[in-house]
Amino acid sequence: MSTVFLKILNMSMDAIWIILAAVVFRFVFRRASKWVNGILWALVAVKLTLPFSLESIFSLVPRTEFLPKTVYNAAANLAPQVSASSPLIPAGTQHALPPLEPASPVTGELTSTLSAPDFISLAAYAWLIGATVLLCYLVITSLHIKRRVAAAVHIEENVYVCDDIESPFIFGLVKPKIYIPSGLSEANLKYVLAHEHAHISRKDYILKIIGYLVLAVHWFNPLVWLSYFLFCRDIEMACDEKVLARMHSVDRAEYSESLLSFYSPKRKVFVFNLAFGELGVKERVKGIMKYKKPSSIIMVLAVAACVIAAACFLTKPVTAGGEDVQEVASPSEISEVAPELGAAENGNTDPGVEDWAVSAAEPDLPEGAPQDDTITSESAQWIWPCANTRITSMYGERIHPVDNSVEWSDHISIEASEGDEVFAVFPGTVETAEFDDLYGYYVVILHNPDANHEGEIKTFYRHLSSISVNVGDVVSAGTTVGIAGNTGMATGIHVSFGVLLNGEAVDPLEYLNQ
Amino acid sequence: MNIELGEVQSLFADIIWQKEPIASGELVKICEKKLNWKKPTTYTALRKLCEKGLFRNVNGIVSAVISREDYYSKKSEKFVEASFDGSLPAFIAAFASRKRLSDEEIDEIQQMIDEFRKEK
Repeated sequence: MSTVFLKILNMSMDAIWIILAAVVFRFVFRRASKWVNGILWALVAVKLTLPFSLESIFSLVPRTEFLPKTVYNAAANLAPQVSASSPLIPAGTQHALPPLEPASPVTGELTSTLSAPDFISLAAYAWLIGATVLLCYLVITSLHIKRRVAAAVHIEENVYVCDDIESPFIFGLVKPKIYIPSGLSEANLKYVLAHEHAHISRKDYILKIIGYLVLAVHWFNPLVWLSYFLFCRDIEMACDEKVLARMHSVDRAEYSESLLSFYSPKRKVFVFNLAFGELGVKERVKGIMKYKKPSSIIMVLAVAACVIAAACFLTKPVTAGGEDVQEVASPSEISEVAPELGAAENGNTDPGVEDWAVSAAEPDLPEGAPQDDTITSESAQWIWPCANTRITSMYGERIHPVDNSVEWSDHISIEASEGDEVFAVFPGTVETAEFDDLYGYYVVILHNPDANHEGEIKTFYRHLSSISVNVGDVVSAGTTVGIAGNTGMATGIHVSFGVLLNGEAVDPLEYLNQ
Repeated sequence: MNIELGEVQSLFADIIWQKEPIASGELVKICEKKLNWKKPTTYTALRKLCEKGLFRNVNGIVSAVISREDYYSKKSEKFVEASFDGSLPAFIAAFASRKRLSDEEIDEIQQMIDEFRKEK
């Protein structure tokens, strides 16, 4: 369940940008027809519900995942006893938090105490409880309304009159019925029915429930609440607009008056309230009195802006290859040094995977050489961690081999056979060499600062069948750290290799493929 | 007496006034046909009107405590009281100013006035 929760947390954070865009759009195009806002809220809903997004070069969504992949991965595996010293928990967790995120109770705590997956499963339970409460509210409210309208009397078509309600509303999903309170004046009745019929033809009663369900899932995100309330307002305003456009003779002042007569600031039911005078009465009356058909130029602009918003915020940046905007910086700096070295050793400026296999197969590098401390990237180079070069699972999003869920992988998996040696990829010092329920026997190496000083770099090697080094050992590129295996939570013999930059997982191939 | 009836309640009360005294089971059947109500709905509505003191339900027989005429005359009294300071002429004046009274209506009112005179 933590997996689901973290996925939703990430989706929620991803949606922040399109929500903000929608709020800005709503303001900029306040003169345009309100149904355009509906498209916008639909985009927000899609972003909040679809577990994946298309890649686009237009995307303006920042690349940063809300949660570091490592933590995400750890929780995905749901290890109950990952020790506090586990290499998983990056020091730089706070960096991953988008600055715009207002502190909701759950996420706020996440930053301070994110020290064990225990906490994540706790948060996941909190989330589940919250969502359940909101769903229960929906069910209870609808049962309550159902009971109240039992004693309604049919007037015409789908219109019923009821004594026990204060304002008109629509109830029912398959066959929506309009319920009006008794004692309506004839003038009011005319406008009320026009308004409610417009709601039904717009299918607002369904949209509102969908909106509420999305809210129930993302209840921890204050921006989603904001969206829901703005969305409900926009529904009402779009509906008013439709009424006004339909009945040209409608007296706007009278319509507004009817609106006001139902306005009661005390009312709290907000799920089914496709009520006549519910939300934003002031704003709506203004809208009604000022209403004129928006110019077609504004409408064209508004729709175009919607499309652009979709392209920019509904998608995520292209991740293929190394052309990623944010992460390209560090590897490209390294590659300025690397080609010379590559050219010197291999006579090849474009060392691919095969080249690494070569250098790994002939480890003529000094093993455990005493001068290791002085070795920096000036004189050393990243090598492939084992003899085999076939990658069976990439860094990034993947289907988890054990539980089949989609998750973020903080490492690559390389095919290996029994007894294959696993090599340190770069000079450094063994920081961790121990057994873990999740990773089996694993080793973490803290590397010597390289020439670029881009930050603290560590590499990890998991699921080893045995470990050949001890904590504190100085290693060089090519030192055997252990034998490939499938200890811990693994599906077969392989080398699970990853790179941590300042405690956060980065794509290992960015480093290995230089 | 201060009994307020909603539109639906008035409809329901009218049915009872028409048929009372009536067995509650019979009433349920009528409401099912005329109002499309389920049995518990009818009983709930009946209970509310009994609580208001309009009807009584003794041994499954529903009967009126206040007759329809009493109810509406009291109600109109209240209405004139509230809207026209209890002045009947003011009420008639207001009524007549919006809607022309027909000859028959004038005759009828005249007759009523004459009768009130005699009684005095």
